Amino acid sequence: MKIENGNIQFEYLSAVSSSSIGDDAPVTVKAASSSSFHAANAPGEAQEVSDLEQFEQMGRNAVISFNKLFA
Amino acid sequence: MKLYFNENVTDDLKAILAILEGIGFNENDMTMAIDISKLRSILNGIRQDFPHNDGLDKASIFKKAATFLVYFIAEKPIQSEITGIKNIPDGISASPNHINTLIAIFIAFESIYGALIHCEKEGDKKINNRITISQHSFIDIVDALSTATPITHFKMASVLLEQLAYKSNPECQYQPVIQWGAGAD
Repeated sequence: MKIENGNIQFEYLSAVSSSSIGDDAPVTVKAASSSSFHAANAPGEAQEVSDLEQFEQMGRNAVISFNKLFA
Repeated sequence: MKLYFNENVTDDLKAILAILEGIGFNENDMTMAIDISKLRSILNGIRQDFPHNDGLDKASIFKKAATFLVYFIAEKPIQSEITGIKNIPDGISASPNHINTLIAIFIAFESIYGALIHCEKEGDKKINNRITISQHSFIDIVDALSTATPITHFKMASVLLEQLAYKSNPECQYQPVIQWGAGAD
């Protein structure tokens, strides 16, 4: 995952659409984000992370967890 | 930033794509095929007509996780296999929708870990322990959820996630008051 010039490029994903399976395209989204990531005190709020790289690591950990579960 | 239900759908999309990127990291010389329009549809869908009487803001983390879970499974945004996950049991791989089900369950579990539960009587409680599960139970859960839709499975998925979280975090549940079938003391 690369974050450059206001864009995020996902290196290990390709975009397809239901109407054009097989037409791969790079997956990019604008990096511009909302003004704040403050946690609300409403019932049942998920924890927050500070940057996208933590979610990427979460995904890597997912594969490790599945491989342990299925070993 | 949270996994979903951020201030806008674009932030939700970035978070989910970052997780999928991490999963795709293990694919040798391949990329995971993602239907972005379906992913956007999921993230918009879970915000509209949220199935809770008091609305999204007052819903529990379990209802939030469950609604994401069933929308993701129903929409099937992942369009390729995930070769980095090895030895998927036959009981799971037999389902044509097992990849989306696996990833939806994983994301739901991750969103519950560390979440706060606001209890009016007992104050805030935090889900400090991750959900733990046996392979046997996991296979059954994947089988049971692989055909989930928001209409048919939301409520039961919500209860399931709640009970799985309470198994690892018993202090977070309301105090059990009876033992079924035990008779009078």
